[in-house]
Amino acid sequence: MSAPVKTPTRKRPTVSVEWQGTETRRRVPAQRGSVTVPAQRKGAAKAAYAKRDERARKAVGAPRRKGAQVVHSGRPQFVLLIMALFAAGLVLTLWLSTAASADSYTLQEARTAARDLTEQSERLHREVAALESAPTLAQRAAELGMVPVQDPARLVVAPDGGVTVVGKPSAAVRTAPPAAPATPVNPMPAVETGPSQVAADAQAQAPADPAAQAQGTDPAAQAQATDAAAQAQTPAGEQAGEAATQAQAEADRLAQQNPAQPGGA
Amino acid sequence: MALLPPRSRPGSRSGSRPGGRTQAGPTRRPPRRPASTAGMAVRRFRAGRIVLVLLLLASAMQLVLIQTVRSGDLTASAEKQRTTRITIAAERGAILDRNGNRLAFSTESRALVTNPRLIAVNHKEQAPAYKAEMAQAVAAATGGDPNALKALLDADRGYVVLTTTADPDVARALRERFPEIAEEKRESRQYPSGTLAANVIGAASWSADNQKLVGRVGLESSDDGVLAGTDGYQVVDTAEGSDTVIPGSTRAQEPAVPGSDVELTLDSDLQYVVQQKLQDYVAKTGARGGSAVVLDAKTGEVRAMANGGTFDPRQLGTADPATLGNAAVSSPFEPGSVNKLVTMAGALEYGLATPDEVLQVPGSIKVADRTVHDAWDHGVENYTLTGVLAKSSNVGTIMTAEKLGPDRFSDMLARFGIGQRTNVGLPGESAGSVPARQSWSGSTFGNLPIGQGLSMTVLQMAGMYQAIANDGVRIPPRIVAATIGPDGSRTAEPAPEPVQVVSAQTAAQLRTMLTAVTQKGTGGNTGTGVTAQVPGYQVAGKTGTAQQVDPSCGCYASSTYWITFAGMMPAQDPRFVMGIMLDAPGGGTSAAPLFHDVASYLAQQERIPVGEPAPVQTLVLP
Repeated sequence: MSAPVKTPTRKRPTVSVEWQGTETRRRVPAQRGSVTVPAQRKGAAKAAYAKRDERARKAVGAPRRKGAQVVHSGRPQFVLLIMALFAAGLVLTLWLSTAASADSYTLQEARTAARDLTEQSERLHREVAALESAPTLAQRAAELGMVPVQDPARLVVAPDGGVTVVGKPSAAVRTAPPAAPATPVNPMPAVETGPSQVAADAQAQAPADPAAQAQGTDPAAQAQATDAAAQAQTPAGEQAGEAATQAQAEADRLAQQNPAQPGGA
Repeated sequence: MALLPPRSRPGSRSGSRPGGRTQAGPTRRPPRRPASTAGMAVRRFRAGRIVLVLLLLASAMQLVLIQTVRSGDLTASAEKQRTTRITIAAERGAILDRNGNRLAFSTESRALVTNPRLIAVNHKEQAPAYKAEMAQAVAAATGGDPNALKALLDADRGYVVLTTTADPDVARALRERFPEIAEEKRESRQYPSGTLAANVIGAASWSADNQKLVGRVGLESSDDGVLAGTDGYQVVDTAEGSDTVIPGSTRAQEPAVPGSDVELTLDSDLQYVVQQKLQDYVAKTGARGGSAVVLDAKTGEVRAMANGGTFDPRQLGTADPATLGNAAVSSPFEPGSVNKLVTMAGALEYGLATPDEVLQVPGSIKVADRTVHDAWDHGVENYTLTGVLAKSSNVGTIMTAEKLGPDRFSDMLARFGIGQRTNVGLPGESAGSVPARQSWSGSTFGNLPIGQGLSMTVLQMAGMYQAIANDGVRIPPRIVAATIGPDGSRTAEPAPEPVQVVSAQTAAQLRTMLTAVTQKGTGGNTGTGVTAQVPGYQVAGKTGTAQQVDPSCGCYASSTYWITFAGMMPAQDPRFVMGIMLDAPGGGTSAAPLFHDVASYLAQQERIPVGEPAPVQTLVLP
């Protein structure tokens, strides 16, 4: 026990001195290796010193066994590489997150647009369904002055070309209060079934002539004839206005012509 | 750098025996480390170690407690706090007609709710003006009544529903303008055709309990299982106290399966015409009600089914409950002379009579204890069998029925499907009633052949004539053509089992006889249903008049009748069969003109080729 105790006692100041200056510290491992572990030391002590040296070496840093210049030139490069990598990573991350949030705005906009379009499509579908439903169609047809047909007359064409009229053609009767305009009549039966329908058709198509129109809307034309220029607003009115001078004269003549048409009104 | 000093500590080597060393060499001890301090440190170290160990033990125990003993409870309550089960509503299927027109379908909508008390608190004295503004805006956007909305908002309540059918975008705009308005997600049922086929389709409305549309009446109710679909769900974590889903926290997910569409055999154009004409006719004749059914002669499909009274499924809440049913399948009545077809079919089928066989028909006939008269007074007349049917002679029919016998008559009734449900696919169907053969009294057989003492629905009545129209093969009527799954796959309904009622030859003979009903002849050769005639087509049909039972005396009333007509057109190759019943119309009413109106429409709409006029048959011989 005495010898090992003495040895460290003697040696301790050396160690503590070494630790006071950085310059001496650098030499610690080398010194220790050569100075503080004499060959004559016993195994345990030797191991203990070796251990301590090892610890010291670890604390100080990597031993400089080889050329110091190689270490000095490699480390900054490595650090720069790592920094560059970090910087690149940072930039990439920033870019990705920016892109992601930008995309999320685009996505949000697209979603809103899709939702709006879905709602619009749903509304349009609903409107279409309502407008194409049978009751609405019937009502709108009635508003246009159309009348459901009861028992139309039919033409049966025989193989030899002969035509037979089945049923009795008659004008559809409108029950609703507003006076119906000329009932749309299929020209075919009209041609075949003769007088009354032909007359109706002919009259419906006849008034292409402004004078005839003026005659058709007789009271209005006459009213406009009295102060033609002032009231010439609608095309019909204009025509009536232009024709105003003739209207009254022609009205009588046309009124006489009309009954001459077959089976007049 | 700070690691080394401990190495230089003297105790590093002799630390195992601190006491001994301090005693042995106090002089060699470094001045910074007095002995007493070291001892205290050791004691503190020991105490600290013990405390730490105890703490560690306590922590370990707590850990064991939490991780094992109480683990179940804690996990459950933690999950309860976070986990939310979100129901994904399934869209309800549509109801389509045979041409794919949508008669009922669903759209997404929003209910707008608000809290008037909160508005009063938030806006203080400006509250009335603010409420008025809100009422105006909501009314303008949803088509409501601003005054009613204002009244709602002025009520001292914590929750009022402003509308239940706002479109999502409208709701969003209103909510942004008025922060007090909240939205509730709804599914709104659309009936674009309004009252069209309402008694068949029925109505569905929002159920607050189930948070979904629920069928209330008609097919919407009976086919609810098919239409409703299956709700999906999503189990997610939500931020505490809000509905914000934590992204990526979905634990279980089951997508909703939308309901299937139901395709009906109805033709909405025809349905509209039949419904309109029937309702007009019922109103015109002052009848209590009425029903009409149009069947496809070849397939038994129901093309139209209408009732005198109907309702608007869009205003289910205010509808008269009496109009919600479907009388065409649920209300049986005594058919009257329409039922004479059964006797004639039996007599022809069993070879007991021929259409032009002549019967000496007296003005009345005694059956057991009852005397049955014809509807008009006459002596003994020479009616042909066709004449008996066309003039609707009760006496002649009973004479023929007696030849047939009650057993074969009863069997024939069953073959025509009387007394059995057709299983058409509509809720509340009645089977009608036919007295059991064992319970027949002597006079029963004087009633049944002329259509009294038994009852049937309009649908069953039309079904009888469909058998005759389809060469004796009765195909039970069906109204649901197919279901169309959410993936678009169409599953046709199973075809009903056809029933051979009479032979094709008998059916053809009957059709010819039935055309005599609508014939206009001379010298008494005019049938009872002339007004059913459609120019250019042969109409085969039968009129009927049955006395109603007067509930006060339990006897047949003398002034109220069920007026019926059943027929088909064109008789040579029937395309359509129609049954009409009017409940207690004014005196002298016939249902034949209504048949004519609908048949005339059908002829145009379906472009049925014009045929030869029916030959005039001899009904009565001098």
